[in-house]
Amino acid sequence: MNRHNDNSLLERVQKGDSEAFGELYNANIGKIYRYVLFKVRTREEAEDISADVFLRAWQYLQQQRIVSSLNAFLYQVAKNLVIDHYRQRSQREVTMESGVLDQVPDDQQQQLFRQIENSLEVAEVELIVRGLKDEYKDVILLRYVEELSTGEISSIIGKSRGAVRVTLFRALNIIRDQIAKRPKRPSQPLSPKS
Amino acid sequence: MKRRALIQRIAGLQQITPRADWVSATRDILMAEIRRQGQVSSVATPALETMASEHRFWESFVGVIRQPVFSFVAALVLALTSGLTVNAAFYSLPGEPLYRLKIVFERTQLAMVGDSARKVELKVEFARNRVKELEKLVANVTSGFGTRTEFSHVVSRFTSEVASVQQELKNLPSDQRAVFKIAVSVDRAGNELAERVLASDFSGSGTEQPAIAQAVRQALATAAATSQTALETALATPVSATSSQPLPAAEVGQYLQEKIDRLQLQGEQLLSHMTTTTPAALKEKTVAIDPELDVAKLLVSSGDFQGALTKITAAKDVLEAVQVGLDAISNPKPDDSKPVENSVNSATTTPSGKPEVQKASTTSSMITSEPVDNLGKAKETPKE
Repeated sequence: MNRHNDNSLLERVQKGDSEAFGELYNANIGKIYRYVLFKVRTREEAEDISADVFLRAWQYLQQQRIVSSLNAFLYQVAKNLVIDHYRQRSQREVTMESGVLDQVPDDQQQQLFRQIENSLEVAEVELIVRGLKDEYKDVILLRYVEELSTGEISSIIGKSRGAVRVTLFRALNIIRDQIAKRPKRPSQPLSPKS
Repeated sequence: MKRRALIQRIAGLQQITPRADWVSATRDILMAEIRRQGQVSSVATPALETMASEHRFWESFVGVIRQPVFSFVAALVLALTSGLTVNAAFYSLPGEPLYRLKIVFERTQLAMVGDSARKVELKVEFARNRVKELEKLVANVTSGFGTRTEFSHVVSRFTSEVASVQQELKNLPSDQRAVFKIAVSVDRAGNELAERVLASDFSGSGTEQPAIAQAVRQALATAAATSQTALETALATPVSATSSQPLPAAEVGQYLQEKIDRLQLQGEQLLSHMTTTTPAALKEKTVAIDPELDVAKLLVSSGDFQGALTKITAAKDVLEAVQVGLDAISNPKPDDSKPVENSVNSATTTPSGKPEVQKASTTSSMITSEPVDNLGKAKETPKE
């Protein structure tokens, strides 16, 4: 969706047009979900937060606040909600999840991953990206997966364009090194399940 | 590897997409809520001119939105989505595909309510929904690992919801009646949770067991602390003309009387578990509680609820300390994975090492659901 369409959609949503909001949701839910998924541990968490992103977005836009870039706005909301998510979890100190849920095979998550196991390369890259520092993960996902411009990324992560380019350069080098270090192995599913 | 090839491999992550059914259902629910809110708002706007009509608006709006069944039916009509799907989501359990919709819908309801008191009521209601889910999970239990996982999920959500009630308490207006109702509701939710745990088959050994026990202990402790904070807030708020809803004295008296009765019962149960080898200090402490609780009863009768609550809280603390002492005697080995049964009732250990649950004191969770640290001391619950 280009910037003109984004602006037009924004205007309609801000006027309370629910159909426009539906379009906004359809156009963006996939990438917001993907962005969140790489920052949390489970699909359930990603679904919860992604749904919240659109709810918050609607409420914010109804207050007639100025939003210069729809993309940047949605990613910023997602980023803040992920931060809130971890903050609330640490406040609750529910340590159960780290002990129990990490051991639990999430069938649906595994199913999701099996879908991409057709390409072992993708699975490997995914694991590497998941392991990156948030700073690197953000720029890699936003630039090369979601194909945002460095300008949009700079407004989302709050850094200058130059800093974004430098971070991208470093992140790519890290990924390249990680791939080079990985032992070559025959294609096989990541999960023991077939 | 060349830069272009590397970028192409990274771009391959675009293959990761959300489940289509989740995308569609979440959209329907969001849209239904948005449309409904728009309709209510447009009708209600002129009525906001006066305080009285504002009150009516919120009463009707929140009253409607608080009813999950109505909301789901509204979603059905407005989003033109499948009625079967919507209803199935409402009755779904953790682990089922539509359960996520239920949670999304609850969040949507919360987000659409602006009034702090109503928000807290909703959170309490959702916490009680978790207890109902536990009940169903326990009924369906097959002792499978998956069920244990869902059990943990529900307990975790319960804790989260009750903890957020406590945070929200400070935002409430000086409505003593509402705050008192919250105290009672959270107390009951905690008691119900304790009962469901006792009825469950989650006391077996296993690597996941200590974590579940810890989660349940934390849930009960959070409920107890939240209820106590709400009760203290309700009783401490001075009755004045600005209080929109004064404290219902008769109900408060009855509630405190029930708490006293429960504590006395708990004291009797503890005494019945004591033997000739039990240290005299523990017996004396337990026996000394009874006259203190009698004084509390008199204070309730005279309308001194704050004084009675002080006595009740002190008695509860003593009983907890006695319970911890008894646990330490019956289970002297330091144990990082203290079983939950120690928190909600008396537990003994079988020769196999598996905790054996005694279900005699299911109504005493308010007393014994406080957290216990590994050193065997009663841990202070957070109070705001």
